[in-house]
Amino acid sequence: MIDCINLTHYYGKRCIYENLSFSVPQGRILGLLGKNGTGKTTTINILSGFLKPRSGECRIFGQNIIDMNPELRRDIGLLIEGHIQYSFMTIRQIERFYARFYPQWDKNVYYDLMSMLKVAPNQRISRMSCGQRSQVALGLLMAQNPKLLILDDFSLGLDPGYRRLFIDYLRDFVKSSGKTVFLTSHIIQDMERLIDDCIMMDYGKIILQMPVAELLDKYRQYIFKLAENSALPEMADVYHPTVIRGNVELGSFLDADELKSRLVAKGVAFEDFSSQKVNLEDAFIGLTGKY
Amino acid sequence: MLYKEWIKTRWFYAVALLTTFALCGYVLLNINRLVSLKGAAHLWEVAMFRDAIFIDMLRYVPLLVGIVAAVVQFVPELVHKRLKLTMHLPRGYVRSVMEMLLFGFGCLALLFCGNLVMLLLGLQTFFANEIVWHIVLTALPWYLAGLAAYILVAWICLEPVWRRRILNILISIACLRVFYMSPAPEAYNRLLPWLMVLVVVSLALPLLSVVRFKEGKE
Amino acid sequence: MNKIEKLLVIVGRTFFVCVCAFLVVWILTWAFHFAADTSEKPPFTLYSAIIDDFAMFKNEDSGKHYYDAHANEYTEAQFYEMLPTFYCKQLIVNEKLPDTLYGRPVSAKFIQNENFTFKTAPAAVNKREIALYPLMESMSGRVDLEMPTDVFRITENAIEFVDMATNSVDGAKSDLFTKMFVQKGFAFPAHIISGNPTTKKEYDNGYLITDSNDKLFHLKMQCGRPYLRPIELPEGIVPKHIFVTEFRNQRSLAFISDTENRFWMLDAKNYEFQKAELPDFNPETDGMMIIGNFHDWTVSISSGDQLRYFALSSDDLHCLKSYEVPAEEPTKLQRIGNILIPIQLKFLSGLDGYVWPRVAVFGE
Repeated sequence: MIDCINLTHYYGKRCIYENLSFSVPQGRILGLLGKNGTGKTTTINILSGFLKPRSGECRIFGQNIIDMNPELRRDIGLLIEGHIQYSFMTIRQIERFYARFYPQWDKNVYYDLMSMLKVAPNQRISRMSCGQRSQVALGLLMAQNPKLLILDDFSLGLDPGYRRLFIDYLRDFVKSSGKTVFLTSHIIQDMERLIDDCIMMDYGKIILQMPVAELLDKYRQYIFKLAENSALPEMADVYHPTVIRGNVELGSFLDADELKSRLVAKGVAFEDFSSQKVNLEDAFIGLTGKY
Repeated sequence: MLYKEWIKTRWFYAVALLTTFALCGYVLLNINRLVSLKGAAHLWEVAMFRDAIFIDMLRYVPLLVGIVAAVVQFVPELVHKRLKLTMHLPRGYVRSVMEMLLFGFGCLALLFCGNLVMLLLGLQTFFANEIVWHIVLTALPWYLAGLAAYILVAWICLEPVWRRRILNILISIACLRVFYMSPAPEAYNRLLPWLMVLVVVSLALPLLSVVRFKEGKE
Repeated sequence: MNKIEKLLVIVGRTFFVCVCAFLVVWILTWAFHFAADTSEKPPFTLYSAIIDDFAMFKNEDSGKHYYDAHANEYTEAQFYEMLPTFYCKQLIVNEKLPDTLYGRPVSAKFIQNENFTFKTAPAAVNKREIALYPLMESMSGRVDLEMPTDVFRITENAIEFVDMATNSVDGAKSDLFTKMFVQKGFAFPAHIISGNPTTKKEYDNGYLITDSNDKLFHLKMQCGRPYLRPIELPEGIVPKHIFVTEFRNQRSLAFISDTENRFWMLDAKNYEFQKAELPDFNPETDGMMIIGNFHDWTVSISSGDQLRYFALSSDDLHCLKSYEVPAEEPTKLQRIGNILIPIQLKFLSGLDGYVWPRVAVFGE
């Protein structure tokens, strides 16, 4: 569905990333995780066609985004950060506006969702709450019925109730019709409920791309105590170890035995060794570091 | 597309219609008052020999209307970069923006024509055709300036980078100055057809800002 | 983007570049002229038959300066005496006005009666006129002239009088005048209509009009009735600009400039043409001023930077003397600027009232 090849982008002289490549297969919900400044927004902007990368290309449906046939965009649903919509229109007006551009538009889906919001059809979107606006945006996406959805930070500005509502509706909608989704969010717990696969980015490169289930199954958080006067050396396959008063916390895909044997091999004396599986948010912090 | 533009701007055009026609009416009433006070002959004489045109009050009105029309139409698109919504529609984004521009341009042109027709008809009750056309031809550049201002302000609004916007503002001010270089009546007779062509060609200018917007220039 | 959209973007880019280039040239031109332009008023110059030379007066920082074209210096008193017709009043006050001048007896009244001034500038000639003309009653019997209550226009086939108060055509008057026009062989429509629509003159000479065959006619209204006299033009004269004159001495009806840039005086009494011995003069590009008295005329012609003076005999308008004011050398700043800014662009010009781009290459 989506193929990005050797993307390189700079903001002025600052390099965001070089030769970044990834693919999004059909029928999957893929979430892009990364700290601020790692290029999440850049990637989303490139994908939605509003940023021209310094070099490299992005293909959707096999066509380069930049000179894609505009009609293909009827199969791409876009949610802009903050659920931005033409809020000077009413619910009815905005549906009428968009409907004309999409031959497969299904207005019943939209109005079904709107009826649950308990808002009058002539109510201006600007007069609605943030949460209600997010449902309007979702309703429009569902009525458009695109094959691919690109959602830029769908959680922004929503309180927990609406976030949960949004996720549940979206997942149900997407899974029932085999759609492909590419999304970001700054609330990782939300992502965990929704996405199948994840891509984790960290300053200029992709750390990993794998199904979330697999990530959470294989990733472990390890905690142990160093013996006195012992230090932790550089180790491969270990992510962002932190040492505070001899207490070590690190993440790794190695299993416990493998890690222990490597520690011993490096001559590290330790005790109180424990490991645990963590949720996506903890895995993310472990893989990318707290800073 | 026009549906959205209409929803955005219908109140503005209603107000603009009322205001501009009211101002034209006021100007005509004023002439009527002068006729009662000083006699028609006096007005004819100052028109023929002292370059009086009696409608000086309207000089900058079309310019203001053009500027506000562009602001009302395009600023809502810039808030939160909402223009992305239009540009994402399954049709060429250049075409979409062009339609937006032509809508505003068309509405303004209609409004200004209405004003000019009102002036023509009103002035004909007081003056011979030669004086009426003398006045209307003097006013034409002001209305053209209003159309030019609409296009230039759209160009400024749609530009994503602030530094470039300031450059655009400076260029626009210089260009609009061309329409107000001489207060002498009918001074623009020769230049007017060329200015009309240039104003129509300048409709392509805001497209440059939109292309830059699409490329994500910051 | 499809082909049309790409074309539109190219058009936009080209337009932007052209506008920027154009603005740069315009602004540079303005800045250059702002910094480098010097304007010095030329000295007051008048032909003096007494010294048979051009007398000049300039106000300088060092004081008033009186001299002639050969750099001889004079005092103020001498200057007044050199120009007795011009300084007639001053000489009367000083009791220095002679009884005879240039071989004929003169009185103050006679001198003042014969003095006249005439001026034309390209800006006034190149202006757009409203084609409506007030025709005054030239034989009202009153001292002061009155503006009429109607104005006339000449159409494709008639002369129409429009009443200003009612904004309607006076059918009867229009028919009356049109019949006269037709009778006198006027071929509608008119080419030139020239007169002085002001009451601030001593009498009214009406209008001089050329028809579509460039034949000349004199139009007046006398006691409400039309007076239209065809005027025979000498061979080869096609009038291009006509300046109706109403000087006190009632000698001239008009000054006429023709298509060959010759300058003529039309005699008011016998409708005869007298050619002025002057170089080519085109009122559309040259300015002219005439200060005339019973003996001579001082004619100044300014074209571009060039200023020339001619003394003509008032009897037969032959040239007595001429003088060309030496042109001002461009300053260093102006010379450098004309090279650095090879193309200069302005919208306005002192020669006309139009807004139109005017390009000068290397300051020409």
